[in-house]
Amino acid sequence: MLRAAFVSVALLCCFAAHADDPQWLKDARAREGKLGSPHEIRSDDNWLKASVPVKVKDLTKLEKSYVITLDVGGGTPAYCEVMPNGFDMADTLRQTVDATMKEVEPIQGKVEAREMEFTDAGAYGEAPYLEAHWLYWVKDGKETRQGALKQLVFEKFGHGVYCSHLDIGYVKTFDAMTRALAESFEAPTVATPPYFREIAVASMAGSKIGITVTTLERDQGGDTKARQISALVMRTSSGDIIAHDGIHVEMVRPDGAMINALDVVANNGEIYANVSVKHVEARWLVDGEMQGKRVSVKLPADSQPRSWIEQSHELRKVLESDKAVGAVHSIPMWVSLDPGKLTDMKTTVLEKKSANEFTARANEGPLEFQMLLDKATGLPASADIPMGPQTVRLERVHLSGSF
Amino acid sequence: MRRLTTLLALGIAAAAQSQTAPPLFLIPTEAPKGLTLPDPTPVHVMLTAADAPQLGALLGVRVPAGVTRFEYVVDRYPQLETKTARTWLEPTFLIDFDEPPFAALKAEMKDLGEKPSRAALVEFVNRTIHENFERGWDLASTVAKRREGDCTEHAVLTTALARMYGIPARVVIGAALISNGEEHTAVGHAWSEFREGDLWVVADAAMLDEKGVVRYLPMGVVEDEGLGYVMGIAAAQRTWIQRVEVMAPKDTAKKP
Repeated sequence: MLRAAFVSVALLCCFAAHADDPQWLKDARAREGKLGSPHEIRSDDNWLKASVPVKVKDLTKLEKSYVITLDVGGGTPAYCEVMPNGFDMADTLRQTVDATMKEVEPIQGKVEAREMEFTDAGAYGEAPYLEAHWLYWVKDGKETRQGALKQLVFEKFGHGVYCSHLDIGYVKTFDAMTRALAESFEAPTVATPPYFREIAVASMAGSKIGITVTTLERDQGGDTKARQISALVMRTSSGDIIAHDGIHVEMVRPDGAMINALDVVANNGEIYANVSVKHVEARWLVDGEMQGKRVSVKLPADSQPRSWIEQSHELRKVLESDKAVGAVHSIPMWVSLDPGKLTDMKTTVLEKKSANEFTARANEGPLEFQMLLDKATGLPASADIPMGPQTVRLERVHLSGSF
Repeated sequence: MRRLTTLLALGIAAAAQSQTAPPLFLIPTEAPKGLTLPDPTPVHVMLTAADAPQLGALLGVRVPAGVTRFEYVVDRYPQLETKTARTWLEPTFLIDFDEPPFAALKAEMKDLGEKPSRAALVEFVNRTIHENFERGWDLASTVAKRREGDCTEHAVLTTALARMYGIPARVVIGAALISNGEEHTAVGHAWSEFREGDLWVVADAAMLDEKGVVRYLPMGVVEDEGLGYVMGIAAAQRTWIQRVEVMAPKDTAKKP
């Protein structure tokens, strides 16, 4: 569990609140620290190293993590906590803002309201990140005062890093520091280095709200572990976060055929689904828990779940043919949200957009959306998914390796 | 990237009726200035949906293919047909009133009699659940235990309690058009329907305290109450109302 809420009296910097931003608040928001030459970060045990363009005040090894204290300007340091073996990115943002607000209260007064004013998501090189900025208002018995919290989580080499800064302003300094930390971060990798990596970002109404990371790792026997991690945050009007985290792992043979799969989905840190499918005595068996209920189902006798690697290989062939436009491709796949049967994943190629890209319609069970398929990978480079009166746009931001 | 659609499906199901920002629950609504719509005035609206023909079919209006906007009169409550014939009395994965948390609830409800009325069940659920917009689509047994949530949890628990007392009931997702004087707001919503005689009638515990006039536009019945219920809920995106234009009577008269 992250230490998360690095609060002390010295950290707090609050201001009287006004309906609109007055000049002094605009000035406070515009404050920035100085960026200088790189400062090295290295733990005493040499487990981690990195460099950042701000002064490093301290690095402490705790029982299960490393905490780095950084000077981003003003009197309030920023903190970054490195959690070996990673964490759920979306839920980490949710848990840490809750913990920070709880720690603020005894020092500064009751938190009357909080508001997430900004979210961002993307990739610093091969490190996916999620970021959230908060404003909060506390009442100290006399007047209402305003504070701000910046949070950023990133994942690299299987480890999770959470950075925060509890002060108004210093936004560009914080971003430059976290970007440098992510890009230069080095630590022993948790798993076999992947031979393929794709990172995509989800955005809605102009805000980036989520990421998905796909990696392929080959094991000693030549099989591939296809891992997909997703994290999504949505803010609520009451100042809370709805956080969704998911991990999907498929073990596949060198020809792409499914060996087994595991899917874990969490809502606000609560496990929604933790189910697997594997081949046992000539049948595919689904086993696990959904919403805390035990699930054990045999798929119909003639069922053969296919992998997304097979799907992308087959789509490449479709897109390479002379008759790609109008072609329809279907493949039965196992989806944890409807784990008791296979879901038909249908792709209809609509139009050739360029030499390497085609627009297509995806029908994933009841979900229907448009996407831009990349001929080289057979994967979507982007997709637009209707979500109530909004549309969520998924867009690839990083691609390395091949399969 | 494909797997993010799984999370999005869950997000759609969880958030489309929740108060997220940007608001997924708030449906853009326009109305002529000064228009009031006291109950039970029929209300003429123009509805926009990605799959308007399918939404029209649900509401009993023929909408040609390719059209995304059509006129509809909100008057008598629409009776949605389902693909499968069911009693709507049985416990299911989602409406699991056969789970232990319902024994405690039943004990609390003993004063309501052998077969509580719709009004009594709605009132009981309204005062039993406290608001929490962070919940997704919890199972009925989870709602019975946690006693918190938004409209979806109200709908699921109301449906479960009705079935527990032998009343056919089902969960519906759709839009609620709320008229407060000259203000008209459409929101994504979920509620329960009880079978009374030959009709499905609204049993909405979440909006019991609403001061305005609430009119209901159902967009789909939660038919799949099994393991894949979230995917079924996400499917309602195709008929999701994206815009409501409330029309004044004189505007209505001009329409062909």
